[in-house]
Amino acid sequence: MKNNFSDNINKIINWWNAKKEDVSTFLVPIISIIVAFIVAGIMIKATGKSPIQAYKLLFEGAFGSSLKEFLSLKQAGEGLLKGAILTLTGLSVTVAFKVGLFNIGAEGQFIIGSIVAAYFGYIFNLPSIIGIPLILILVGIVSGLYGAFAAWLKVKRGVHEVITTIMLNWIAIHLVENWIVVGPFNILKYYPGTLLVGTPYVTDSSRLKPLFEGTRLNALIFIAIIAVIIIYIIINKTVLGYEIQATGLNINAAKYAGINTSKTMIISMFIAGALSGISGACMILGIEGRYPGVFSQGYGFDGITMSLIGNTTPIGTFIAAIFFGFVRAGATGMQLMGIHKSFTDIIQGFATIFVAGQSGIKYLLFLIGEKRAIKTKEATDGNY
Amino acid sequence: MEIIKIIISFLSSMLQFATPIILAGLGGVICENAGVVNIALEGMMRMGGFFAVLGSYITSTRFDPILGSRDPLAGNPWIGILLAIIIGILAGLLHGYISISLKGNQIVSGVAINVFALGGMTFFLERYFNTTGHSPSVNSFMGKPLIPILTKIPIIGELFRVMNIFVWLALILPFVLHFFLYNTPWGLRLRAVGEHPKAADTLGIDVYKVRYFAVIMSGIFAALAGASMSIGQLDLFDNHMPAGLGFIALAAMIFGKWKPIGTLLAALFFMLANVLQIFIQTYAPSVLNIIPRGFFLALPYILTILILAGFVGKATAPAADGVPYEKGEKL
Repeated sequence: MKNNFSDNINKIINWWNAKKEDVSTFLVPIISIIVAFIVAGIMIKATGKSPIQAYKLLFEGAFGSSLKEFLSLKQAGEGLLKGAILTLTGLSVTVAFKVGLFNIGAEGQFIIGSIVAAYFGYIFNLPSIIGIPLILILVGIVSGLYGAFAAWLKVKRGVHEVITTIMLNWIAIHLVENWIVVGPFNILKYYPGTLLVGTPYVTDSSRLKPLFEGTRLNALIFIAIIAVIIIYIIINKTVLGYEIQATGLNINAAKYAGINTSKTMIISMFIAGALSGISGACMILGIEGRYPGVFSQGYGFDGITMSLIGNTTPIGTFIAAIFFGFVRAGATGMQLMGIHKSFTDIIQGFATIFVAGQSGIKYLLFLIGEKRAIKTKEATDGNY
Repeated sequence: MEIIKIIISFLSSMLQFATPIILAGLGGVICENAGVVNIALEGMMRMGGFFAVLGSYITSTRFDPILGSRDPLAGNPWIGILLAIIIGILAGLLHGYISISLKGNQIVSGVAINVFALGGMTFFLERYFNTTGHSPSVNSFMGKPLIPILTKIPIIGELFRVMNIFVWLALILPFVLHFFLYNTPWGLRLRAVGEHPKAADTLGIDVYKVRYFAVIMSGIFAALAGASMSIGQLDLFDNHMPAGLGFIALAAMIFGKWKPIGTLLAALFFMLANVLQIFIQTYAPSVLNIIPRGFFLALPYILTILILAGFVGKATAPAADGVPYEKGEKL
């Protein structure tokens, strides 16, 4: 009887020891998020407020306080909108990771995409079905080139992409917000006397319309889902995807296998830039309607978190992005308790810190299996 | 006489603006020379800036009957500096623990600290000052020259008026750090760890200890840089701080070729462009119609890319920069 029991334990331990690498890949992000919520909850507690109450408001803010409200997508639509934006920047970072590059430049590419979309959205007055895809393609090309420039500097000049993309972020921010938006493309040039800052509104036909009454949710979410599917297929089912993964795993081996790694890197960063740019375009066409005076909200930087928490896979990125989309939307509910909505940055920051230190979490996870293994081994040793 | 006045005021603005960049840049220099990339400078500056104000605020014991709370102007800014240093040490330890002990990705860790600082300081601002805009004015080093007697000197005395403790630190520390890195055994060890950790380990240098020392120093420098903005240039913490200066510091470090004095010069040069833009705005606004403001602001970053790409000189990072070190690993 006792032997039978320890046999079963041993079976579980063996399964764990065989599978722990794979399983922990999924466990690490989940544990990171849970621990992040706990640590952030302690911070709320420390300020004399109730974390349970805060998280309840967060949940209600994200999904609505009743099933009916949830189904009307009044609140849940907001989460999906934010999630869609985050999905696109997250995918951008994921594609770059796959080829072995770190795209910190998602923010800059996002801003370039936004301003290009704001411009074409204003001058185009085509039927939506033609106009909007055309804007997205143009945005993809421009911000794709902006992303590819960093990869070009890497392969031709040997400059580390982290530094160049950081610099390109600030070049984009300053040129757009301190020149284009206040200068040649300022709303005052088109509508003198207005009190608004930023660029003029895009034409009505260039805007993404809400899917139905009572929600702001629009086709943006479909754009994000289509992007996830396309990127999934590119990475997993095409020759380009094979070349991207080979380059990312071992650039020298890829070179010897005859892959043009430089070209692969530049193409990947083009795709990455295009995705971030389209994310910015969606923000303009689907949410803001124009480029406001100061815009940098960190969606590009958030993309890094989404990608990392999603294990740098397209599907994982999508799940992480939708999750944090809801958290961000729900955070406005916490403001009722006097907790600023930027509180989500704390949760996100902690989650990223834990993912960054994942070898620590893995170590603890593996320790459980090992200790049990030693214990049972001693137990069985005693039997003989 | 008018022109001299303008030049002096130009120089003093440049010094003031460059101070946080120099201090944070030095933080980058010491960290990256030991082989740890620190893009968390921005976040560490933000934390230092906030806690410097908080330190000054909480040491005030005088009650203000009009505000109904403690008088923010009666605190001790030196405690502010101390608190900033402590928070810098903690932030450095966190970055060190992830990137040295856990061998995590140093850039991810940096991004995480930046994200945390963004939300965390807003949270604390609301907690302590009931606002998400800016803190009340506290007792600070703003407009308090460290050596007041120097301001009595005719003409150039004006220049010393803006030189508070932080500005002096920013002008002296690059030389101290240069001496440390190139003329002391500790500095040599630090650079050895950044260039070839395996060789350093073989020679009996504790790579982890040296790297921890470097990230902690880096945290202190960055936190001081943040304090120099909040209780040096101003007397309050604004929620937008440090508005990307941490990244300019990173750029200055690269432009200065990972060397302390180079970083000092790069920071001054970058701010030259910035101050020029402000002066043009005041004295010759029509120029901005030809060259927009955005170009002046983007110039430091454009120059950094050009220098990295080898179009303007060449900058190379320490060889083992950003590579976690595993003891006993085969090369």
